[in-house]
Amino acid sequence: MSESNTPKRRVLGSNVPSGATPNEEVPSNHENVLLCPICSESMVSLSQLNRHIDDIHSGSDSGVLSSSSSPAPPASGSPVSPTPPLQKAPMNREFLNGSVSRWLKNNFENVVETSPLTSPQKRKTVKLDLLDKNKGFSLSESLTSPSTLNVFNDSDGTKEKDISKSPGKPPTASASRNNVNRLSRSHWQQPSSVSTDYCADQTCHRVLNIKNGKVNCRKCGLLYCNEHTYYKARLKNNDTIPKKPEILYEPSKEGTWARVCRSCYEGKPEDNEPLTNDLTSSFKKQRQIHNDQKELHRNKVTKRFIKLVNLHSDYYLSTKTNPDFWFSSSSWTVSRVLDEEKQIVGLENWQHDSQVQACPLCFSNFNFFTRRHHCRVCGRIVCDGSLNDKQIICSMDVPLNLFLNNKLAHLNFSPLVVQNMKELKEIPDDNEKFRIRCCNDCKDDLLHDWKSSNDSNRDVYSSSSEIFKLYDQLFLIKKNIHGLYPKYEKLIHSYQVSGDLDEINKLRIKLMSFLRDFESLIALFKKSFFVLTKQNVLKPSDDLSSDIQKLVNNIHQSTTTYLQETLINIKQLSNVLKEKEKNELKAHQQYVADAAVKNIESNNVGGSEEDSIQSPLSPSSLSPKPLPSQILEPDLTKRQIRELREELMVMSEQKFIIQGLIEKVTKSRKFDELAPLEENKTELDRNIQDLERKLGEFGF
Amino acid sequence: MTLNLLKTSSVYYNKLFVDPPATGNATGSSAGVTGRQSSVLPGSKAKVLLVDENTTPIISMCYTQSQLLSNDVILVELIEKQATLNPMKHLQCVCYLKPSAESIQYLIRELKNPHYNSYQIFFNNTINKGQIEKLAESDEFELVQSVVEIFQDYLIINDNLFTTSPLKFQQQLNGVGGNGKLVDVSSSVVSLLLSVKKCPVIKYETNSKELRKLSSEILYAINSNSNNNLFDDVNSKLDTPPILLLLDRKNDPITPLLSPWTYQSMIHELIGIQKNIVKVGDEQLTLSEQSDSFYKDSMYLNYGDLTDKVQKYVEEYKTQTKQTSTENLQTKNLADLKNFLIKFPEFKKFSSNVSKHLNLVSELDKMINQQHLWELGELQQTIVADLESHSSIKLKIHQILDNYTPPQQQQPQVTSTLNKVKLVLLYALRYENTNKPENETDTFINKLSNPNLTSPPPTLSQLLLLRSFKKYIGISRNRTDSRSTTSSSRNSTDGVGLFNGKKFNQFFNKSLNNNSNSNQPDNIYMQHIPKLYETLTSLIQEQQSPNNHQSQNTTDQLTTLVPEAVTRQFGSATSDSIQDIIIYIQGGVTYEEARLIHEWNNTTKMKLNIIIGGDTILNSSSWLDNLCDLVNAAETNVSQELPNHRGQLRDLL
Ligand SMILES: [Zn+2]
Ligand SMILES: [Zn+2]
Ligand SMILES: [Zn+2]
Ligand SMILES: [Zn+2]
Ligand SMILES: [Zn+2]
Ligand SMILES: [Zn+2]
Repeated sequence: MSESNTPKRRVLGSNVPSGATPNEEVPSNHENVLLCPICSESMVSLSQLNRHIDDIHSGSDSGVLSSSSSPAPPASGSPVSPTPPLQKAPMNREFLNGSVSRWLKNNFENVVETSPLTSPQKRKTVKLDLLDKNKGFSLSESLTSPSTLNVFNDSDGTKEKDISKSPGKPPTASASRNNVNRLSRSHWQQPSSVSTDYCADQTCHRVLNIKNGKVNCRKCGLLYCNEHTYYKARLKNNDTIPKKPEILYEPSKEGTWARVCRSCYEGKPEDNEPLTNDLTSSFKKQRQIHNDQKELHRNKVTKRFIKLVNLHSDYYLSTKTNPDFWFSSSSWTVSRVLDEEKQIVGLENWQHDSQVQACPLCFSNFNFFTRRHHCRVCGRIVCDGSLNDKQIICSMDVPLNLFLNNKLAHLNFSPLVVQNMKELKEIPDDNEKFRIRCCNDCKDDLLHDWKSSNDSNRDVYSSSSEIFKLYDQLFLIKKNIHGLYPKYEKLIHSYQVSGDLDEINKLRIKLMSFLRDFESLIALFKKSFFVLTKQNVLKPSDDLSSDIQKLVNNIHQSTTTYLQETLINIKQLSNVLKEKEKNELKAHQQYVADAAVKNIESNNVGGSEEDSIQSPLSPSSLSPKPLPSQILEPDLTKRQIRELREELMVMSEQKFIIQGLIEKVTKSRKFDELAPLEENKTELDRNIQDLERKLGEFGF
Repeated sequence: MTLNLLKTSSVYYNKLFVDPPATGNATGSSAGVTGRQSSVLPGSKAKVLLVDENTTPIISMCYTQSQLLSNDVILVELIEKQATLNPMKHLQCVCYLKPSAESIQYLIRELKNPHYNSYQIFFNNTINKGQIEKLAESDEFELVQSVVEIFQDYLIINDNLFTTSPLKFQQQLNGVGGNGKLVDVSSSVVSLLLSVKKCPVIKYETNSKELRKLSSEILYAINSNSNNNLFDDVNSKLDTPPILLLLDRKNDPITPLLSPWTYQSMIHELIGIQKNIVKVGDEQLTLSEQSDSFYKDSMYLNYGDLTDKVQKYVEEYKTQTKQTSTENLQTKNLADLKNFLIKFPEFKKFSSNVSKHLNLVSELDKMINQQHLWELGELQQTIVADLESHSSIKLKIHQILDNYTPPQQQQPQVTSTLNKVKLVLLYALRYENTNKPENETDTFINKLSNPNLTSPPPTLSQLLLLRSFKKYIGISRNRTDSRSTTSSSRNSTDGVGLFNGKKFNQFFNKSLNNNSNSNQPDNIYMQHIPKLYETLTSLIQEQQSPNNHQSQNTTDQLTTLVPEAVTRQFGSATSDSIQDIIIYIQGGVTYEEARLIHEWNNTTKMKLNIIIGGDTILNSSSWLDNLCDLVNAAETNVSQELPNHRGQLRDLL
């Protein structure tokens, strides 16, 4: 680790021998040394410098200057104080004053200083190594020489002589170099003097002796074999309870490395959640500040706009009747209007032509062709955007009635304006009066509120809204199914002999009707947005734009997969229930049979028993009521309805899957497989019709 | 936090799509000064996922489309196409972006001109204060519900294998050693460290200039408060500081040159894996430890065990097919059909998986025979692991180069130019320190250049590499150079360093195979042990027994950097034990090394946690290309002026 020994060698990709050590070479001539222009700290790369400036010099410039002029404190050891996110970070003096090289060097010095070679304490932790030749990689027990047991060391400095012979006996305090850190041993399991001790590890349980070892776990104190105390953890005494010492985990330099058993090693509290860093609140705080400022600004802009409308209405109304206002009594002149406009904006905001050489919006330079124009709302000088190639219209001479129509008619205008609103709105757009020059920024500010209130409804009329209307319905049903399914599952799994089937039935009927709705909605969805091509393949309708097609496809795929999976899950649950009922039936029959045997032997009950085995029925059917093979319209029992419904459900589900198969087979043109499938589908259809007829009004 | 990358990604998935963070109501509710609350349509949770070109592969490698669909993500869009998106105010938008300047710019535009109902923003790395301020400023309509950093600026290949974020095309053009790349790699590694909550001691190979810069970059990122001190508490539950081990591929050029013999490695070597996707014919096959349990169980198996396992898999499939097959549909009754249909999705998955692996293994078999890999692989191992004498090795190389006819065959066996070049390079590397006339590298190069023997002839850059690699790739140099004054000692150092495979192999096989079921402990094709093994062993041994002089050589080669947070927690005595190691190989990692780590993790009793990664995953061809590029760049000196022409140059030469 000592850098001076680093062999000089060439590195691939450079002809320059790079033998120098890191701390020497940071300011080497072969590399471009970058210095921070503010604090002259040297940087390895440009990006590092960028970040450095972001981190250290962003914001509070004064702090930089003052601290960089102060004498440099020692660069080592002073920990960076944690800064709360997004507050201005306090200056990190270490960064400001040390150069990177010094700072790096410091780290190297730390390494050298703490090098294991110079630390006598380290030398003792030899035999804890699992990768130690004798233990880590060889599973062979015979290689474990007894000597490794005899000189086992904890890094707390206590040297244990011959622990295999006298485990549990606390060593004399004098052996300990560091009494403060010595772990308490009063809780240690003492080796039995009469009987054999066994390793406390559940999977091991081997006899503890010299060969296997006999070691106390420093944490729990139990006795283990060598192999099962092959773990290390940092521990400390819990000093808060002086009478009953307890060993705690201490994952820091305060903790003492000690030998522990596996369960103590694995029981160490762990941080199992990957890191996430939620910046929402600081984001929202900043957004608040910005939006408040913008809001203030917009209020100012709106107030000016109101005054401008008042002014121009007055001007328009009082001059329209006698266009020849030279002779009118009114005192309106063009220059008076301009003066008043300046007053509204504020003279301090009204830019002088000489101040501005280029349009602030498009950066075009003003000249004979690109003329200066004053925005009457903010007072800035802008161009009219007619000549720039950036497709921004920097400013426009806007007829005020454009603003008044719908958009800004509700503002708090003067009574004169309110009274004449109707007339003002009807001023033709090409009228020379009643218009103001307005820049693009001010237009956005003026229309901001109107826009945001209108924006959310914007795509209601677009092609996607129909799609989402259906999707929302599908989503709602899905949510219902999501709510019911776990309940249903739980009921079935907890169902016990002669339990309440009513609840289960109710839930199933609900679930099934939801699924039916879901299925018909999917069908509707398909009908609305898909077309069948000549090759019999379903495909999003061509009327839709390509990304809407993608959307429609995805929705279709996700919903059909969901339907299929849910159906299969429900089917499997029904099987579970059936299985349970079958078992119950058997138990009941057994009971009946036993009773029969106990009764008169000549009584012939055998026949009826066989019958009921052939048709496994639920307990409620045990009353002698055989399942009729022909139509039973009016008097279906609850159970029969349930069974028929269940059968119907299975059939529909199969039909659904078969349909999917048919689609697939058609797509892949495996027509030889098509025929049996079609056949199956017809059979299923027949069955379904049959069942529906049987169920009659009790169908879903 | 154990080093378990797949678990990390699934937790992040939940954060993204299932259980998004609370929308920070505590401070957010007062926002409605103007009453501009985003009007969330009741009931609708349909989501659009907005990604950028950096996060697209991250998402697509971890999560499947049907997974996304099942969480109501019904649309995935690229933020780069922001301007052309369709407004869909019904959709809630989940943004998953890398905090690059470009993506932030697009996001700002999106927020100023929103297409969706509301926004939940996730960044896959740390975002700086300036960026967040800009975003806050642009959210005029207050549509952002949450801003969260999660840390996944890297690709998860296996549970224990990652690569740093792929570079954009533009960045690739800017050259290999550029600072831009360095910073990208650094921030990618930093995001990995954060996601697994590790603030590590950094150790890097001292001889690598690239690594020195990289390590300083990483240390700076950890120490500086640009990350809001995220690193300060991540180690709080650890007893011992984790280690970030930075290695340079150039210090082990051998491992990626050899033909590997385990499943995942072979697929990459012989067919090629791109972001966990393999193209066989015109089929695209996805390899995923997560969703394919057969692959999970077989990815590290050697070829012999693999073929056995595939055979069993096929037999299992056959028995199931007999019970339920589509052909039986017409003959069997409805009950059977019912059974089949219920199992149908499951069954279909099974059958497609069987055909996938059958497809892969037969492709591998084809390639092995086509390239005569049985012979070639044995010879490769013989060269690097010193299994036979120098003269007998030379004889065998001559045979290969002469396209000899093997005893039982009629036709001469022609080895591809590429494989010949690799073989000669292996030889040249191995006998680098053997002087003429024993060293016959030149003779081999001459044979390679003979168009009668080798067609097509090797490219000029390949020949250049063979002739002048010595200047650039140091193998045992770290050892020999320090004694280079006594050149007589050179020969005695042969077989040290990279080529002590045999020595380690006995050690390695004995221990590892006790646990694995491998019935081929002396597999001739797996004699070479990557240098990584030696590095790790001595690193761990050195930590445990610092005055063991045998390991001194290796520790000399590593330089250590300790972040302040580590010193604060553990004091300056940082080298007392190792439990977690994160390895990053600059220049590319191999699947073979990932397998080594997998075996190591599963064999050590004390639960050593190791994960490994690199900037890319190499196979022998891509490594040879990279070597050619490096040597070419240095020799022709075009690297400074025309870095982006290097690839073209390689093809030309
Ligand atoms: Zn500075
Ligand atoms: Zn214990
Ligand atoms: Zn035991
Ligand atoms: Zn302009
Ligand atoms: Zn003017
Ligand atoms: Zn303006």
